[in-house]
Amino acid sequence: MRPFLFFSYWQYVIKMHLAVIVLMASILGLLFSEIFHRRIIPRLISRNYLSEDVHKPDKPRIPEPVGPAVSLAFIVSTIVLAPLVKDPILLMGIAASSGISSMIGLLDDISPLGAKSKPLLLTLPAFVMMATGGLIPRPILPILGRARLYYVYWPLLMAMYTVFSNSVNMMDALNGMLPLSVFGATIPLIPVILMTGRDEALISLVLLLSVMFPYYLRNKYPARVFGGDSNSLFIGATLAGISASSNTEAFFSISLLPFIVSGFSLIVSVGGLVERREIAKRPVVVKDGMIRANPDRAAPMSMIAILTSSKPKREPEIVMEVALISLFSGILSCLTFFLLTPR
Amino acid sequence: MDRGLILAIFSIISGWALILLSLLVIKVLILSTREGSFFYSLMEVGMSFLTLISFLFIWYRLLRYLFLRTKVGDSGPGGT
Repeated sequence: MRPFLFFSYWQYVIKMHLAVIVLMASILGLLFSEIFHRRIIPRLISRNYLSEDVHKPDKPRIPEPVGPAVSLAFIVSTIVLAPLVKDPILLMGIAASSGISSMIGLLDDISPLGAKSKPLLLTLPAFVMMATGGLIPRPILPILGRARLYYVYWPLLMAMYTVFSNSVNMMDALNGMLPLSVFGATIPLIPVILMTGRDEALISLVLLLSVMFPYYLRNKYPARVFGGDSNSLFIGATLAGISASSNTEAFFSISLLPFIVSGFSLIVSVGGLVERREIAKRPVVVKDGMIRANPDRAAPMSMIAILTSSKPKREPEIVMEVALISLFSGILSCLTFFLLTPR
Repeated sequence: MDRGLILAIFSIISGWALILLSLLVIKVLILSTREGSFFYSLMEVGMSFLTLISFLFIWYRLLRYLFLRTKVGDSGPGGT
């Protein structure tokens, strides 16, 4: 017997419209995220879980990791909303796989994992998604339409989880940069997910954006909290889960191009998977609160280094530029779906 | 708008074009091979990956070249 079957009665009784569930998701996400932030931050401060903000001249110490406040809010909200959707197992699968990523991130926050073991561990959430039985290995691709990838899809899904998680993690470099750029990249994808008709993916995306909002208010310049890997890996895995459940992997890849370009360039220019702390030459240098690309020719290339390659910039200016670029790629992805994808 | 921002926008547009170009090549490959055979399906997947990797390599080299030119180039201060 499928779990949650006892809830199906309520599904028919309540007959809630998708818009009402989406509204509920946004309210619940905001509420739970705010509550968990208020509970977790004082505990981090009292236990001295503080990290230095290296881009500020006075190097203040900021509570980290606040990621569990975001991921717990997402999971609790999902549990509340699961009885109201068509496929509660898929919705719970997205939350469970994201939760596993958050746990891996938390483990990395407490005791850093190796540069090679972390990407390998980040394939684990893909198995949870496969176990839900709700995935269809027929991704929608620009130009080609619906592809049939019955054999190749599963290893690609594992690769996608690790690529998305690591790319988002690498983008968590400046105050407010990660949440703001995720907002920019994913909000234009809402009509795309609506067109696919996968309500669970849409609800998960709205939930993700709403749980991230209280975090953004605290993480924006000048930051009062840091999410840590438990936050960034969670967000990356959630995006992977949402894209897989709605068969919009290609469109999420296009909208996350600033993340993928940055992560890919960094990995290639340092010559493989290297832990952030182990990179000998930093991509950027900071002087009097101004950030600029490291003038050393051998220094790695990242999105921040590209943006500051011609002149030094202040932290909020870079964050705004990355967010605008993410919004641009999100819109590009949306247009690709509506104009260049056969259906 | 400075040259760093222009380069960042270029990286996104060229990355997007690379994805579309790869898919276009894959479409041509699919149309030109026989259907139904497992061997041909495997070849299609292999060729698709090879196409993507080769395009990715060219794209990265170009981006890195432009990045180094912008960073340490002598074509004047940033800003357009």
